[in-house]
Amino acid sequence: MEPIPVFVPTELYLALAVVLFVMGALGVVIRRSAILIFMSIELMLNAGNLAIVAFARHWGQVGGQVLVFFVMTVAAAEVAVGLALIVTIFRSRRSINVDELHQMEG
Amino acid sequence: MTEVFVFLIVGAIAILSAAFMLISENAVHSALFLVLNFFCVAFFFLTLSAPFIALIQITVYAGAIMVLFLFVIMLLGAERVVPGAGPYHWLPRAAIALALVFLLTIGLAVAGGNVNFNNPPPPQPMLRLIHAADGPPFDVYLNNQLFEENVVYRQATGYRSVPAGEYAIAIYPAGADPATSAPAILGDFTLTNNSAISVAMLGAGSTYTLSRLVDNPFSTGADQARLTVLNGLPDAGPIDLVDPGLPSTTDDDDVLIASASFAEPIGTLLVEAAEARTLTIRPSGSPGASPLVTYHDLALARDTNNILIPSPERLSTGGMRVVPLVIATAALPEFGSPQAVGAELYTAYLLPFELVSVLLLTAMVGAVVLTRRDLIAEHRPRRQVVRRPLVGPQAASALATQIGDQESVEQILSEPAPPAEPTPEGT
Repeated sequence: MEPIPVFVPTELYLALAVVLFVMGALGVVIRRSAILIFMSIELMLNAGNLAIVAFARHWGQVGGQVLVFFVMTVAAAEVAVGLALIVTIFRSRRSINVDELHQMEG
Repeated sequence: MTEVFVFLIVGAIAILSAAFMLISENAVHSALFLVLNFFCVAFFFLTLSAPFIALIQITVYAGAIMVLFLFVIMLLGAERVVPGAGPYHWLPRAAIALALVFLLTIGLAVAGGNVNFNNPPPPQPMLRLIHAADGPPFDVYLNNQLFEENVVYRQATGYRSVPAGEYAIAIYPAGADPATSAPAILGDFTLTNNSAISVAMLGAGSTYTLSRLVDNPFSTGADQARLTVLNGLPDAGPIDLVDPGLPSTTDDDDVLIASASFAEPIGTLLVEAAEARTLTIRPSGSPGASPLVTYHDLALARDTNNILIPSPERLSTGGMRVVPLVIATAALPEFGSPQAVGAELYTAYLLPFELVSVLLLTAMVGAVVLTRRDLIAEHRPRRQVVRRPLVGPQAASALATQIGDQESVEQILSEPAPPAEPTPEGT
Protein backbone atom coordinates (compact mmCIF):
# COMPACT_ATOMS: atom_id res chain seq x y z
CA MET A 1 0.00 0.00 0.00
CA GLU A 2 1.19 3.45 -0.87
CA PRO A 3 2.19 5.36 2.28
CA ILE A 4 1.42 9.06 2.51
CA PRO A 5 4.68 10.95 1.92
CA VAL A 6 5.93 12.72 5.04
CA PHE A 7 8.63 15.32 4.48
CA VAL A 8 8.05 17.66 7.40
CA PRO A 9 6.99 16.25 10.78
CA THR A 10 3.48 16.98 11.98
CA GLU A 11 4.80 18.74 15.10
CA LEU A 12 6.20 21.62 13.03
CA TYR A 13 2.84 22.18 11.35
CA LEU A 14 1.15 22.16 14.76
CA ALA A 15 3.62 24.70 16.13
CA LEU A 16 2.97 26.99 13.18
CA ALA A 17 -0.78 26.56 13.60
CA VAL A 18 -0.54 27.47 17.29
CA VAL A 19 1.48 30.61 16.51
CA LEU A 20 -0.94 31.72 13.79
CA PHE A 21 -3.92 31.04 16.04
CA VAL A 22 -2.47 33.09 18.89
CA MET A 23 -1.74 35.95 16.47
CA GLY A 24 -5.35 35.82 15.31
CA ALA A 25 -6.59 35.91 18.89
CA LEU A 26 -4.27 38.85 19.57
CA GLY A 27 -5.76 40.66 16.60
CA VAL A 28 -9.28 40.15 17.94
CA VAL A 29 -8.29 41.67 21.28
CA ILE A 30 -6.03 44.47 20.08
CA ARG A 31 -7.66 45.87 16.96
CA ARG A 32 -10.70 48.11 17.32
CA SER A 33 -11.97 48.01 13.76
CA ALA A 34 -14.75 45.46 13.24
CA ILE A 35 -13.39 44.53 9.81
CA LEU A 36 -9.91 43.84 11.20
CA ILE A 37 -11.44 41.75 13.98
CA PHE A 38 -13.19 39.72 11.29
CA MET A 39 -9.92 39.23 9.42
CA SER A 40 -8.27 38.06 12.64
CA ILE A 41 -11.07 35.52 13.09
CA GLU A 42 -10.36 34.27 9.56
CA LEU A 43 -6.70 33.91 10.53
CA MET A 44 -7.69 31.81 13.55
CA LEU A 45 -9.96 29.61 11.44
CA ASN A 46 -7.09 29.10 9.00
CA ALA A 47 -4.73 28.09 11.78
CA GLY A 48 -7.32 25.57 12.94
CA ASN A 49 -7.66 24.23 9.41
CA LEU A 50 -3.90 23.83 9.14
CA ALA A 51 -3.84 21.78 12.33
CA ILE A 52 -6.74 19.61 11.17
CA VAL A 53 -5.11 18.89 7.80
CA ALA A 54 -1.82 18.08 9.54
CA PHE A 55 -3.63 15.62 11.80
CA ALA A 56 -5.50 14.17 8.81
CA ARG A 57 -2.17 13.30 7.20
CA HIS A 58 -0.75 12.07 10.50
CA TRP A 59 -3.52 9.52 10.95
CA GLY A 60 -4.17 8.88 7.28
CA GLN A 61 -7.85 9.88 7.53
CA VAL A 62 -9.46 11.81 4.68
CA GLY A 63 -12.27 12.76 7.06
CA GLY A 64 -10.09 15.57 8.40
CA GLN A 65 -9.93 17.18 4.99
CA VAL A 66 -13.71 16.91 4.69
CA LEU A 67 -13.98 18.68 8.05
CA VAL A 68 -11.78 21.50 6.74
CA PHE A 69 -14.08 21.77 3.74
CA PHE A 70 -17.00 22.28 6.14
CA VAL A 71 -15.07 24.81 8.20
CA MET A 72 -14.39 26.83 5.05
CA THR A 73 -18.07 26.75 4.12
CA VAL A 74 -19.11 27.93 7.57
CA ALA A 75 -16.45 30.66 7.41
CA ALA A 76 -17.85 31.86 4.09
CA ALA A 77 -21.37 31.99 5.57
CA GLU A 78 -20.07 33.79 8.65
CA VAL A 79 -18.26 36.39 6.54
CA ALA A 80 -21.34 37.05 4.43
CA VAL A 81 -23.55 37.69 7.48
CA GLY A 82 -20.82 39.51 9.43
CA LEU A 83 -19.99 41.93 6.66
CA ALA A 84 -23.70 42.61 6.14
CA LEU A 85 -23.91 43.46 9.86
CA ILE A 86 -20.90 45.75 9.59
CA VAL A 87 -22.43 47.58 6.63
CA THR A 88 -25.71 48.02 8.54
CA ILE A 89 -23.95 49.25 11.67
CA PHE A 90 -21.86 51.67 9.61
CA ARG A 91 -24.99 53.08 8.02
CA SER A 92 -26.64 53.92 11.33
CA ARG A 93 -23.53 54.84 13.38
CA ARG A 94 -21.08 56.11 10.72
CA SER A 95 -18.37 54.09 12.49
CA ILE A 96 -17.20 50.49 12.79
CA ASN A 97 -15.07 51.03 15.86
CA VAL A 98 -16.21 48.34 18.27
CA ASP A 99 -15.45 50.50 21.30
CA GLU A 100 -18.17 52.92 20.24
CA LEU A 101 -20.73 50.17 19.82
CA HIS A 102 -21.56 49.62 23.46
CA GLN A 103 -25.25 50.37 23.18
CA MET A 104 -27.74 47.67 22.33
CA GLU A 105 -30.34 50.06 20.92
CA GLY A 106 -30.21 50.79 17.22
CA MET B 1 16.20 18.49 4.71
CA THR B 2 15.26 20.72 1.78
CA GLU B 3 11.61 20.23 2.60
CA VAL B 4 12.12 21.41 6.17
CA PHE B 5 13.99 24.49 4.95
CA VAL B 6 11.20 25.34 2.52
CA PHE B 7 8.71 24.79 5.32
CA LEU B 8 10.61 27.16 7.60
CA ILE B 9 10.87 29.86 4.94
CA VAL B 10 7.19 29.71 3.99
CA GLY B 11 6.25 29.47 7.66
CA ALA B 12 8.24 32.62 8.37
CA ILE B 13 6.45 34.37 5.52
CA ALA B 14 3.11 33.23 6.97
CA ILE B 15 3.94 34.51 10.46
CA LEU B 16 5.36 37.80 9.15
CA SER B 17 2.34 38.45 6.95
CA ALA B 18 0.06 37.75 9.91
CA ALA B 19 2.08 40.19 12.03
CA PHE B 20 1.94 42.88 9.34
CA MET B 21 -1.78 42.29 9.06
CA LEU B 22 -2.08 42.99 12.78
CA ILE B 23 0.00 46.18 12.89
CA SER B 24 -0.89 47.71 9.53
CA GLU B 25 -2.66 51.08 9.80
CA ASN B 26 -4.40 50.69 6.47
CA ALA B 27 -7.20 48.11 6.34
CA VAL B 28 -6.53 47.42 2.65
CA HIS B 29 -2.91 46.56 3.44
CA SER B 30 -4.13 44.29 6.22
CA ALA B 31 -6.43 42.47 3.80
CA LEU B 32 -3.62 42.02 1.26
CA PHE B 33 -1.26 40.67 3.93
CA LEU B 34 -3.99 38.23 4.94
CA VAL B 35 -4.22 37.08 1.30
CA LEU B 36 -0.48 36.41 1.37
CA ASN B 37 -0.96 34.44 4.57
CA PHE B 38 -3.74 32.40 2.95
CA PHE B 39 -1.45 31.56 0.03
CA CYS B 40 1.20 30.32 2.47
CA VAL B 41 -1.39 28.14 4.22
CA ALA B 42 -2.53 26.82 0.82
CA PHE B 43 1.09 25.86 0.14
CA PHE B 44 1.16 23.96 3.44
CA PHE B 45 -2.03 22.15 2.43
CA LEU B 46 -0.25 21.07 -0.75
CA THR B 47 2.69 19.71 1.22
CA LEU B 48 0.26 17.88 3.53
CA SER B 49 -1.14 15.86 0.56
CA ALA B 50 -4.34 17.89 0.45
CA PRO B 51 -4.32 19.38 -3.07
CA PHE B 52 -8.11 19.70 -3.18
CA ILE B 53 -8.25 21.67 0.06
CA ALA B 54 -5.32 23.82 -1.12
CA LEU B 55 -7.17 24.86 -4.27
CA ILE B 56 -10.37 25.51 -2.30
CA GLN B 57 -8.31 27.65 0.05
CA ILE B 58 -7.07 29.80 -2.82
CA THR B 59 -10.37 30.11 -4.67
CA VAL B 60 -12.72 30.48 -1.71
CA TYR B 61 -10.57 32.17 0.92
CA ALA B 62 -7.97 34.17 -0.97
CA GLY B 63 -10.43 34.72 -3.81
CA ALA B 64 -14.04 35.11 -2.78
CA ILE B 65 -13.85 35.95 0.92
CA MET B 66 -10.99 38.43 0.67
CA VAL B 67 -12.58 40.18 -2.31
CA LEU B 68 -15.67 40.56 -0.15
CA PHE B 69 -13.55 42.08 2.62
CA LEU B 70 -11.83 44.51 0.24
CA PHE B 71 -15.16 45.44 -1.27
CA VAL B 72 -16.67 46.29 2.11
CA ILE B 73 -13.57 48.26 3.16
CA MET B 74 -13.77 50.32 -0.03
CA LEU B 75 -17.55 50.69 0.20
CA LEU B 76 -17.40 52.06 3.73
CA GLY B 77 -14.30 54.13 3.11
CA ALA B 78 -12.79 52.55 6.19
CA GLU B 79 -9.22 52.23 4.94
CA ARG B 80 -7.67 54.41 7.62
CA VAL B 81 -7.64 52.59 10.91
CA VAL B 82 -6.11 54.31 13.91
CA PRO B 83 -4.30 51.58 15.80
CA GLY B 84 -4.42 51.20 19.53
CA ALA B 85 -6.16 54.19 21.15
CA GLY B 86 -9.57 53.49 22.57
CA PRO B 87 -10.35 53.69 26.24
CA TYR B 88 -8.10 50.76 27.12
CA HIS B 89 -4.47 51.79 26.66
CA TRP B 90 -3.16 48.82 28.58
CA LEU B 91 -5.07 46.26 26.46
CA PRO B 92 -2.53 45.63 23.65
CA ARG B 93 0.37 45.16 26.04
CA ALA B 94 -1.64 42.91 28.33
CA ALA B 95 -2.86 40.84 25.37
CA ILE B 96 0.65 40.41 23.98
CA ALA B 97 1.93 39.39 27.40
CA LEU B 98 -0.88 36.85 27.79
CA ALA B 99 -0.19 35.46 24.31
CA LEU B 100 3.51 35.05 25.11
CA VAL B 101 2.66 33.32 28.39
CA PHE B 102 0.31 31.00 26.50
CA LEU B 103 2.95 30.10 23.91
CA LEU B 104 5.53 29.62 26.68
CA THR B 105 3.17 27.26 28.49
CA ILE B 106 2.69 25.16 25.38
CA GLY B 107 6.44 25.16 24.77
CA LEU B 108 7.13 24.07 28.35
CA ALA B 109 4.52 21.32 28.13
CA VAL B 110 6.10 19.99 24.92
CA ALA B 111 9.65 20.35 26.24
CA GLY B 112 8.72 18.65 29.48
CA GLY B 113 7.50 15.60 27.60
CA ASN B 114 3.92 15.99 28.76
CA VAL B 115 2.57 15.82 25.24
CA ASN B 116 2.24 12.41 23.69
CA PHE B 117 3.13 12.41 20.01
CA ASN B 118 1.68 9.08 19.02
CA ASN B 119 2.97 7.64 15.85
CA PRO B 120 0.10 6.59 13.64
CA PRO B 121 -0.44 2.87 13.20
CA PRO B 122 0.53 1.53 9.78
CA PRO B 123 -2.40 1.07 7.42
CA GLN B 124 -4.14 -2.26 7.87
CA PRO B 125 -3.89 -4.88 5.18
CA MET B 126 -6.69 -4.95 2.65
CA LEU B 127 -8.19 -8.18 1.44
CA ARG B 128 -10.49 -9.12 -1.39
CA LEU B 129 -11.64 -12.32 -3.00
CA ILE B 130 -11.83 -13.28 -6.63
CA HIS B 131 -14.06 -16.13 -7.71
CA ALA B 132 -12.47 -17.55 -10.84
CA ALA B 133 -13.47 -21.17 -10.43
CA ASP B 134 -16.33 -22.41 -12.55
CA GLY B 135 -18.80 -23.29 -9.86
CA PRO B 136 -21.54 -22.14 -7.51
CA PRO B 137 -21.36 -18.99 -5.37
CA PHE B 138 -19.30 -19.22 -2.21
CA ASP B 139 -19.33 -17.92 1.35
CA VAL B 140 -15.91 -17.06 2.69
CA TYR B 141 -14.96 -17.51 6.34
CA LEU B 142 -11.84 -16.01 7.93
CA ASN B 143 -10.87 -17.67 11.22
CA ASN B 144 -14.41 -19.13 11.39
CA GLN B 145 -15.93 -15.65 11.01
CA LEU B 146 -18.07 -14.90 8.01
CA PHE B 147 -16.04 -12.48 5.89
CA GLU B 148 -17.82 -12.29 2.56
CA GLU B 149 -21.14 -13.73 1.57
CA ASN B 150 -22.25 -15.08 -1.76
CA VAL B 151 -19.22 -14.40 -3.93
CA VAL B 152 -20.33 -15.08 -7.47
CA TYR B 153 -18.28 -16.71 -10.23
CA ARG B 154 -16.32 -14.24 -12.39
CA GLN B 155 -16.54 -11.51 -9.81
CA ALA B 156 -14.26 -9.85 -7.30
CA THR B 157 -15.34 -8.38 -3.98
CA GLY B 158 -14.31 -4.91 -2.87
CA TYR B 159 -11.25 -4.42 -0.72
CA ARG B 160 -11.86 -4.64 3.02
CA SER B 161 -9.44 -3.75 5.76
CA VAL B 162 -8.65 -6.52 8.23
CA PRO B 163 -6.19 -6.54 11.11
CA ALA B 164 -2.78 -7.96 10.26
CA GLY B 165 -2.09 -11.51 11.33
CA GLU B 166 -2.38 -15.18 10.48
CA TYR B 167 -5.61 -16.23 8.91
CA ALA B 168 -7.23 -19.53 8.16
CA ILE B 169 -9.55 -19.15 5.23
CA ALA B 170 -12.39 -21.56 4.61
CA ILE B 171 -14.70 -21.41 1.65
CA TYR B 172 -18.12 -23.03 1.72
CA PRO B 173 -20.84 -23.20 -0.87
CA ALA B 174 -23.14 -20.22 -0.41
CA GLY B 175 -25.64 -20.66 2.38
CA ALA B 176 -23.99 -23.76 3.81
CA ASP B 177 -23.70 -24.06 7.57
CA PRO B 178 -19.98 -24.23 8.44
CA ALA B 179 -20.74 -26.27 11.53
CA THR B 180 -22.17 -29.19 9.61
CA SER B 181 -20.94 -29.05 6.03
CA ALA B 182 -17.45 -29.56 4.68
CA PRO B 183 -15.56 -26.63 3.19
CA ALA B 184 -14.80 -26.56 -0.50
CA ILE B 185 -11.31 -25.16 0.08
CA LEU B 186 -9.15 -24.50 3.11
CA GLY B 187 -6.07 -22.33 3.19
CA ASP B 188 -3.73 -20.47 5.50
CA PHE B 189 -2.02 -17.20 4.83
CA THR B 190 -0.44 -14.26 6.58
CA LEU B 191 -1.50 -10.65 6.13
CA THR B 192 1.02 -7.94 6.89
CA ASN B 193 0.34 -4.25 7.32
CA ASN B 194 0.61 -1.95 4.34
CA SER B 195 -0.42 -4.55 1.79
CA ALA B 196 -3.34 -5.29 -0.47
CA ILE B 197 -4.01 -8.95 -1.09
CA SER B 198 -6.33 -10.70 -3.51
CA VAL B 199 -7.21 -14.30 -2.84
CA ALA B 200 -8.38 -16.01 -6.01
CA MET B 201 -10.29 -19.27 -6.18
CA LEU B 202 -9.18 -21.27 -9.18
CA GLY B 203 -10.08 -24.61 -10.64
CA ALA B 204 -13.07 -26.35 -12.05
CA GLY B 205 -15.28 -29.23 -11.18
CA SER B 206 -14.76 -30.15 -7.58
CA THR B 207 -11.06 -29.43 -7.11
CA TYR B 208 -10.33 -25.85 -6.18
CA THR B 209 -7.10 -24.04 -5.49
CA LEU B 210 -6.47 -20.79 -3.67
CA SER B 211 -3.98 -18.33 -5.08
CA ARG B 212 -2.70 -15.29 -3.24
CA LEU B 213 -1.87 -12.16 -5.22
CA VAL B 214 -0.14 -9.08 -3.89
CA ASP B 215 -1.87 -6.10 -5.49
CA ASN B 216 -1.01 -2.49 -5.92
CA PRO B 217 -4.49 -0.98 -5.79
CA PHE B 218 -3.38 2.62 -6.29
CA SER B 219 -3.22 4.89 -9.26
CA THR B 220 -0.67 4.18 -11.97
CA GLY B 221 0.06 7.89 -12.25
CA ALA B 222 0.37 8.10 -16.02
CA ASP B 223 -1.91 7.04 -18.83
CA GLN B 224 -1.35 3.40 -18.04
CA ALA B 225 -3.08 0.26 -16.90
CA ARG B 226 -1.78 -2.60 -14.78
CA LEU B 227 -1.78 -6.10 -16.22
CA THR B 228 -1.32 -9.30 -14.26
CA VAL B 229 -1.63 -12.87 -15.47
CA LEU B 230 -2.87 -15.58 -13.17
CA ASN B 231 -2.80 -19.02 -14.72
CA GLY B 232 -6.02 -20.75 -13.85
CA LEU B 233 -5.46 -23.79 -16.04
CA PRO B 234 -4.36 -26.73 -13.88
CA ASP B 235 -3.48 -28.99 -16.78
CA ALA B 236 -1.91 -26.62 -19.29
CA GLY B 237 1.49 -26.04 -17.69
CA PRO B 238 3.15 -22.63 -17.76
CA ILE B 239 1.64 -20.07 -20.11
CA ASP B 240 2.78 -16.87 -21.85
CA LEU B 241 0.83 -13.67 -22.42
CA VAL B 242 1.40 -12.67 -26.02
CA ASP B 243 0.55 -9.57 -27.99
CA PRO B 244 0.00 -10.86 -31.53
CA GLY B 245 0.27 -7.32 -32.86
CA LEU B 246 3.95 -7.06 -31.95
CA PRO B 247 6.48 -7.93 -34.63
CA SER B 248 8.11 -11.24 -33.86
CA THR B 249 11.51 -11.59 -35.46
CA THR B 250 12.81 -14.05 -32.94
CA ASP B 251 10.78 -16.53 -30.99
CA ASP B 252 9.62 -14.56 -28.00
CA ASP B 253 9.64 -10.89 -29.00
CA ASP B 254 5.90 -10.71 -28.72
CA VAL B 255 5.71 -12.17 -25.24
CA LEU B 256 4.55 -9.67 -22.62
CA ILE B 257 4.53 -11.91 -19.58
CA ALA B 258 6.40 -15.20 -19.72
CA SER B 259 5.85 -18.60 -18.12
CA ALA B 260 3.11 -18.19 -15.57
CA SER B 261 2.68 -21.49 -13.75
CA PHE B 262 -0.66 -22.65 -12.45
CA ALA B 263 -1.90 -20.47 -9.54
CA GLU B 264 1.36 -18.53 -9.53
CA PRO B 265 0.78 -14.83 -10.11
CA ILE B 266 3.42 -13.19 -12.27
CA GLY B 267 4.73 -9.71 -11.56
CA THR B 268 2.55 -6.85 -12.66
CA LEU B 269 3.15 -5.16 -15.98
CA LEU B 270 2.33 -1.54 -16.73
CA VAL B 271 0.95 -1.10 -20.24
CA GLU B 272 -0.37 1.86 -22.17
CA ALA B 273 -4.07 2.36 -21.62
CA ALA B 274 -5.98 1.20 -24.68
CA GLU B 275 -9.62 1.02 -25.65
CA ALA B 276 -9.32 -2.30 -27.39
CA ARG B 277 -6.28 -4.52 -27.36
CA THR B 278 -6.13 -8.12 -28.45
CA LEU B 279 -3.94 -10.40 -26.36
CA THR B 280 -3.52 -14.13 -26.49
CA ILE B 281 -2.45 -16.82 -24.08
CA ARG B 282 -0.33 -19.68 -25.39
CA PRO B 283 1.68 -22.47 -23.82
CA SER B 284 5.04 -21.22 -22.63
CA GLY B 285 8.05 -21.74 -24.83
CA SER B 286 6.17 -22.81 -27.93
CA PRO B 287 6.02 -19.83 -30.29
CA GLY B 288 4.33 -21.71 -33.07
CA ALA B 289 1.59 -23.21 -30.95
CA SER B 290 -1.97 -22.09 -31.38
CA PRO B 291 -3.22 -19.87 -28.56
CA LEU B 292 -5.06 -21.47 -25.68
CA VAL B 293 -7.40 -18.53 -25.48
CA THR B 294 -7.62 -15.06 -27.01
CA TYR B 295 -8.70 -11.88 -25.29
CA HIS B 296 -10.47 -10.01 -28.08
CA ASP B 297 -10.67 -6.21 -27.87
CA LEU B 298 -9.68 -6.07 -24.23
CA ALA B 299 -10.42 -2.63 -22.77
CA LEU B 300 -7.47 -1.46 -20.70
CA ALA B 301 -8.75 1.75 -19.14
CA ARG B 302 -6.50 4.23 -17.44
CA ASP B 303 -5.79 3.62 -13.75
CA THR B 304 -7.22 0.13 -13.71
CA ASN B 305 -5.85 -3.13 -12.41
CA ASN B 306 -6.55 -5.94 -14.83
CA ILE B 307 -6.01 -9.52 -13.77
CA LEU B 308 -6.21 -11.92 -16.70
CA ILE B 309 -7.24 -15.34 -15.50
CA PRO B 310 -7.60 -17.91 -18.30
CA SER B 311 -9.66 -20.56 -16.60
CA PRO B 312 -11.38 -23.79 -17.55
CA GLU B 313 -15.11 -24.02 -17.80
CA ARG B 314 -17.21 -27.11 -18.20
CA LEU B 315 -19.51 -27.28 -21.17
CA SER B 316 -22.94 -28.77 -20.97
CA THR B 317 -21.82 -31.43 -23.43
CA GLY B 318 -19.26 -32.61 -20.92
CA GLY B 319 -16.18 -31.16 -22.60
CA MET B 320 -14.00 -28.36 -21.31
CA ARG B 321 -13.08 -25.01 -22.79
CA VAL B 322 -10.86 -22.15 -21.73
CA VAL B 323 -12.60 -18.85 -21.03
CA PRO B 324 -10.84 -15.49 -21.06
CA LEU B 325 -11.67 -14.19 -17.61
CA VAL B 326 -10.72 -10.61 -16.72
CA ILE B 327 -11.04 -9.00 -13.31
CA ALA B 328 -10.72 -5.26 -13.89
CA THR B 329 -10.94 -2.85 -10.94
CA ALA B 330 -10.47 0.89 -10.89
CA ALA B 331 -7.51 2.06 -8.86
CA LEU B 332 -8.27 3.37 -5.38
CA PRO B 333 -8.05 7.16 -5.15
CA GLU B 334 -4.90 8.48 -3.50
CA PHE B 335 -5.04 10.06 -0.07
CA GLY B 336 -6.34 13.61 -0.25
CA SER B 337 -7.12 13.52 -3.95
CA PRO B 338 -10.37 15.17 -5.07
CA GLN B 339 -11.80 11.69 -5.73
CA ALA B 340 -11.06 10.57 -2.19
CA VAL B 341 -12.49 13.74 -0.63
CA GLY B 342 -15.54 13.61 -2.91
CA ALA B 343 -16.20 9.96 -2.14
CA GLU B 344 -16.04 10.72 1.57
CA LEU B 345 -18.31 13.77 1.16
CA TYR B 346 -20.99 11.87 -0.68
CA THR B 347 -20.96 8.74 1.49
CA ALA B 348 -20.02 9.23 5.13
CA TYR B 349 -20.65 12.98 5.32
CA LEU B 350 -23.71 13.41 3.13
CA LEU B 351 -25.96 14.77 5.90
CA PRO B 352 -23.44 17.39 7.15
CA PHE B 353 -22.89 18.36 3.52
CA GLU B 354 -26.60 19.03 3.07
CA LEU B 355 -26.78 20.90 6.38
CA VAL B 356 -23.89 23.11 5.37
CA SER B 357 -25.57 23.93 2.06
CA VAL B 358 -28.74 24.92 3.94
CA LEU B 359 -26.58 27.05 6.24
CA LEU B 360 -25.04 28.82 3.25
CA LEU B 361 -28.47 29.50 1.82
CA THR B 362 -29.64 30.89 5.15
CA ALA B 363 -26.56 33.10 5.38
CA MET B 364 -27.24 34.42 1.90
CA VAL B 365 -30.83 35.32 2.76
CA GLY B 366 -29.68 36.71 6.10
CA ALA B 367 -27.13 39.01 4.47
CA VAL B 368 -29.78 40.37 2.10
CA VAL B 369 -32.27 40.89 4.91
CA LEU B 370 -29.71 42.63 7.12
CA THR B 371 -28.50 45.09 4.51
CA ARG B 372 -31.90 45.88 2.95
CA ARG B 373 -34.14 46.18 5.99
CA ASP B 374 -35.56 49.48 4.74
CA LEU B 375 -36.56 47.90 1.44
CA ILE B 376 -38.37 45.08 3.21
CA ALA B 377 -40.17 47.53 5.54
CA GLU B 378 -41.43 49.47 2.50
CA HIS B 379 -42.97 46.39 0.95
CA ARG B 380 -44.79 45.37 4.12
CA PRO B 381 -48.56 45.68 3.46
CA ARG B 382 -50.08 48.82 5.02
CA ARG B 383 -52.74 48.39 7.65
CA GLN B 384 -56.22 48.85 6.20
CA VAL B 385 -58.03 51.96 7.51
CA VAL B 386 -61.59 50.96 8.38
CA ARG B 387 -64.19 53.67 8.08
CA ARG B 388 -66.93 53.32 10.64
CA PRO B 389 -70.08 55.38 11.20
CA LEU B 390 -70.05 57.59 14.26
CA VAL B 391 -72.89 55.70 15.95
CA GLY B 392 -74.07 52.14 15.70
CA PRO B 393 -77.49 51.14 14.30
CA GLN B 394 -78.98 50.47 17.76
CA ALA B 395 -78.05 53.91 19.08
CA ALA B 396 -79.37 55.43 15.83
CA SER B 397 -82.78 53.80 16.12
CA ALA B 398 -82.98 54.95 19.75
CA LEU B 399 -82.20 58.47 18.59
CA ALA B 400 -84.79 58.26 15.83
CA THR B 401 -87.58 57.30 18.26
CA GLN B 402 -86.61 60.18 20.52
CA ILE B 403 -86.35 62.80 17.75
CA GLY B 404 -89.01 61.33 15.51
CA ASP B 405 -87.01 62.27 12.45
CA GLN B 406 -85.90 59.27 10.38
CA GLU B 407 -84.10 61.21 7.64
CA SER B 408 -81.61 63.08 9.78
CA VAL B 409 -80.76 59.88 11.62
CA GLU B 410 -80.03 58.13 8.30
CA GLN B 411 -77.82 61.04 7.36
CA ILE B 412 -75.87 60.64 10.58
CA LEU B 413 -75.56 56.93 9.87
CA SER B 414 -74.27 57.36 6.33
CA GLU B 415 -71.72 60.00 7.29
CA PRO B 416 -68.37 58.26 7.73
CA ALA B 417 -66.05 58.92 10.59
CA PRO B 418 -62.88 60.87 9.80
CA PRO B 419 -60.02 58.46 9.07
CA ALA B 420 -58.21 57.34 12.20
CA GLU B 421 -54.62 58.55 12.72
CA PRO B 422 -52.33 55.88 11.33
CA THR B 423 -50.36 54.43 14.23
CA PRO B 424 -46.61 54.99 13.81
CA GLU B 425 -44.97 51.72 12.87
CA GLY B 426 -42.45 50.49 15.32
CA THR B 427 -38.98 49.77 13.94
